[in-house]
Amino acid sequence: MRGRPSQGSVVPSSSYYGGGVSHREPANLGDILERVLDKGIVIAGDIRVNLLDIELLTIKLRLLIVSVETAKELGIDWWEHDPWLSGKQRSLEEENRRLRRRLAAVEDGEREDLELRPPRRQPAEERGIESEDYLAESEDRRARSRPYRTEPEDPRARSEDYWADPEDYWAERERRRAGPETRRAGAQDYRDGPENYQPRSRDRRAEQEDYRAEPQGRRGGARDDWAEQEGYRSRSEGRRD
Amino acid sequence: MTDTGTYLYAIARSTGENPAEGLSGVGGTPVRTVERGGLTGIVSTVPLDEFGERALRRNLEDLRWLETTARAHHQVVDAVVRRVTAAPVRLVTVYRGDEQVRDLLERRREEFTEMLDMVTGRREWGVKVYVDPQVAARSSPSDAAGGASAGRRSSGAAYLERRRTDLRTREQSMRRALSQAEQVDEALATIAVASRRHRPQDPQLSGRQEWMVLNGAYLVDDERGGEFASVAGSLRTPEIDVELTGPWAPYSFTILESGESGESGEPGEPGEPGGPGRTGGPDERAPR
Repeated sequence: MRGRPSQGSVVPSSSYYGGGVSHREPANLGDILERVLDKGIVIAGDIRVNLLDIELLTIKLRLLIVSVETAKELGIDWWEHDPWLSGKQRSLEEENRRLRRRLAAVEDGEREDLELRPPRRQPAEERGIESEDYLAESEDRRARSRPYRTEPEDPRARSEDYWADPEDYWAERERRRAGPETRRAGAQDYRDGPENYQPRSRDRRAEQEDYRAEPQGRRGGARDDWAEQEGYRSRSEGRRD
Repeated sequence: MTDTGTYLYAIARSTGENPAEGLSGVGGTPVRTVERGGLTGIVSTVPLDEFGERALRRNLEDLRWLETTARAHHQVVDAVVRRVTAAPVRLVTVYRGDEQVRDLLERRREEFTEMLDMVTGRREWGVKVYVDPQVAARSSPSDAAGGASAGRRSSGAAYLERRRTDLRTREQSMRRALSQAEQVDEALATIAVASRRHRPQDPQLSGRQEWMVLNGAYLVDDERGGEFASVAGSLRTPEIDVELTGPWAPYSFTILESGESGESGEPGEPGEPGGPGRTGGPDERAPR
């Protein structure tokens, strides 16, 4: 039994294959590990060191657990990041679907906006209730009211932010409103989630003062009133215990 | 501990010449051969305080050690397959002594011979196909057109439209790249005797930012190595890059599990651990 002729049949020199294809260089560690760990003859039974019970996946996982950073430096965490196995593609499809839905909603909203822009919205803003109050309204009205929001900063930049992720945008708005300029911190919490509203004891006095300081603005609209009363009631109840 | 073990790198055909001559193996010890029945085991002696079972459990988690050992192992295998037909054995396969290796060669002679027949006069080539998502997207005309028409619309809708177009473009270019990868694989498989698809590597492993859409291994006759390489090169397009590695030792075509052979049930053997079934293995096309 002769082996195939040694050397010469395949010429592994770089020049042989010419330009165009990257080829033989000191093989990179990833390629080597991919082969020496995963491929080749696996022998069990009589070997001194039985690696079969340290299955390769385990080895890899251990590497990952023990020294994630080093593993990443060496770039040998492929078992974790295989895009075809980790479902990244699926999430892409989902994102796509979500965006399509959102686009449709936006386009509807825009049409409505053009046709139905109701002048009666204006007084609300003059009353100083501004857009915040719309947050408590139904999804439908919310969607229609969005285009009316007057914003102090470059509206274009913001609307990009907004469309990038409305939820995030509103959350950010909430955060901003919770800042020092906030006029009605108590009602704010309420609107964030009426069912979860818990009066915060340390704020109670402040809220109260806030309430008294500003009865007018609060009476701006029926909806607003209701929200405030609810909020107020919760606060009172909270005070009892 | 001064105990030593016998580290097995590869199994080769005995040819009369010493395929291990001048090689040094893991831990820097000289590589030797162990022969029986026309087969040669390429081995070296290793200290068990480094390659014993307990030490290995620790060492395999030490990436520096793993890298050094993997490279040393690979170098020996690589040098050997340039000299003779050989089948690589998986990293850190350590026996109590040479006699055990001889036993193995005798007991599984048939299997090994069959496997060696399969890879005789052939080498493995690795082909990876990459697609740069940005290039792929840029070369798509829908992008520019979509951007222009959307520019006049209100910014929100325009933004969404852009996003949508981007996503669609990405999806399309990915699909196109995948089908190109299929074509590459098909074209190369006609030259190869056998082929296997491995999982695409993560950018961190491949060291490239592009998406890897094909990670194939091809067993190619030595005489067709040049043809294979030039076909691989010619399959490049502006959208996809074809990277060729090799020739490698036939790592991907000598995958042989224990327990499938007559090994089990042999008296006196320490119980077969019946290692967990290897799942999710790469596709394999039967050799023609």
